[in-house]
Amino acid sequence: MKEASKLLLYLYAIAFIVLVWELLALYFGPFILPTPWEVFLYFVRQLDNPIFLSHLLYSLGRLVGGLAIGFILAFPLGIALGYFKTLDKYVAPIVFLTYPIPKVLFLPVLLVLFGLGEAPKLLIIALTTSYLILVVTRDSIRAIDPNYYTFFATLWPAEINRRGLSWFMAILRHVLYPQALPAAITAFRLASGTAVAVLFIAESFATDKGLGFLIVDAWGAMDLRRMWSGILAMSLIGAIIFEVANLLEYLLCPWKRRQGA
Amino acid sequence: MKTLSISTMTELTCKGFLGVEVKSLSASHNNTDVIFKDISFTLPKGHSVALVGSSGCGKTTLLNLIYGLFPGILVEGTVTISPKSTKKAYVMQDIGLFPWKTVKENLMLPLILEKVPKEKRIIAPLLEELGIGELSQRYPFELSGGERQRVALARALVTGGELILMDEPFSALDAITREKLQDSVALLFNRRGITFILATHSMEEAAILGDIILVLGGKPTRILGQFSNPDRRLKGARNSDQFFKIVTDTRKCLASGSSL
Repeated sequence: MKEASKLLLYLYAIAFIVLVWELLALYFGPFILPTPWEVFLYFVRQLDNPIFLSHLLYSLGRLVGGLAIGFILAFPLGIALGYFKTLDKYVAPIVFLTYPIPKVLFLPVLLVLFGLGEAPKLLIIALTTSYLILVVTRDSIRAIDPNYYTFFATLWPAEINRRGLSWFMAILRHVLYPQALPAAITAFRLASGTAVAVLFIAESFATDKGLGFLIVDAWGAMDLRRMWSGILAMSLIGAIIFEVANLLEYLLCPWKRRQGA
Repeated sequence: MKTLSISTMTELTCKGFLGVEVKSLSASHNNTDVIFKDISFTLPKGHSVALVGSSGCGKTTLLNLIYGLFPGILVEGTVTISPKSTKKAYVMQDIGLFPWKTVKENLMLPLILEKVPKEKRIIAPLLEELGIGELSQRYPFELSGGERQRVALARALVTGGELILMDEPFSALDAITREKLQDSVALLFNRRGITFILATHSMEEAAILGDIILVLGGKPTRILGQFSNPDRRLKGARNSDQFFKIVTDTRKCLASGSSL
């Protein structure tokens, strides 16, 4: 029932966007804005085109790779900062000082450092997304009621040291990880939108592969249908990653599923 | 004042005596900010103590110290738990279950931490005994207040707790559920011969669950009065004259603010 209503909402949103697009296409005419149906047909045909698919796969790979690197780096570090006060004392000021800086500004720096290969694109996406995931994860750990640690201590066998590695690993598994994961997935979801934007910038001037390149190249050639098919593909990738984050939360945080029911 | 280590506190055993002995226990944040002073009592195995006092009088701190949790305060005195191998469990105020674990997972957690082999992690009979057998797949937020506290009690019993400390376990419940749970606890703990220490601000609760009632109060907190309450184990104790007498005496003692 819930899935059905979600699907209906999706259909409603798509119908609304298509309608607005259609009206705008009528207003501007085919030389400025092709109709959604025209773009959709062109896009479907492009799925048989190996060159288009190659662009799409490059973009998808960079996005997934960059987001994965960002998450893998930021999630454990966020937990560590939230839990270890001394570490937080020295690292948090650096994080918060650099947080407001748009990370995409460092793309030229990364290009100078790592050349025109895949590394700078992956790193700029990772850098952009990791900050949000890091800060949100850290804050979620800091928000834990300290009584949970006391409570956990009461469950801990009296004969085992309460400061050792086994204590930390147990508290990580049973308290920190489940507390931080939903927040980190929410941050991941939010960051994925920014990541698509950064990907477009990264691909629009530092490569000849990827949807960002395709869009800019088609724009230069005034091939509007190709340009729009690239935009549509990039939007779809963003939407799919957003839904994958939802799926991950559904699978990894079953209690959230029940809370929302 | 000196800070005692956990081992110092639990290694002190009193030969021949089985139970809990608290001797001249004082705690302070620093030497001037005293939380409680000179608390002494003896609790024989299989019996119970109810600590009655207003909120903020240091009941939780006292329970934490007896349990062996050191919240970074200065402590003087001794706590003796005999035998040393007594299995302890703690039912904390409000927090008794992890919200991201089902009832079953919450109950399994202490067994996992104690590295109990999988085939020996049996919880079903205990759940049945507490009347919560059908709740094992639910999350804590899907339970009523009374069910949550029953699960917290089950969690305390699952590892075979012989000494159970309870900090205001029923304070968030409505009066009817509270009375039901008090009766369940009294019955269950008596049957199992469990020694327990209960912190509460309810005089009625103390009179139902405490073989010994200690009234805490004053500034700094000290024992204002001590009442023996053997009749609580009798059938129909809740409506007996002795019950009303002990509640009245406890109330008067707390109000007077001085030792009887």
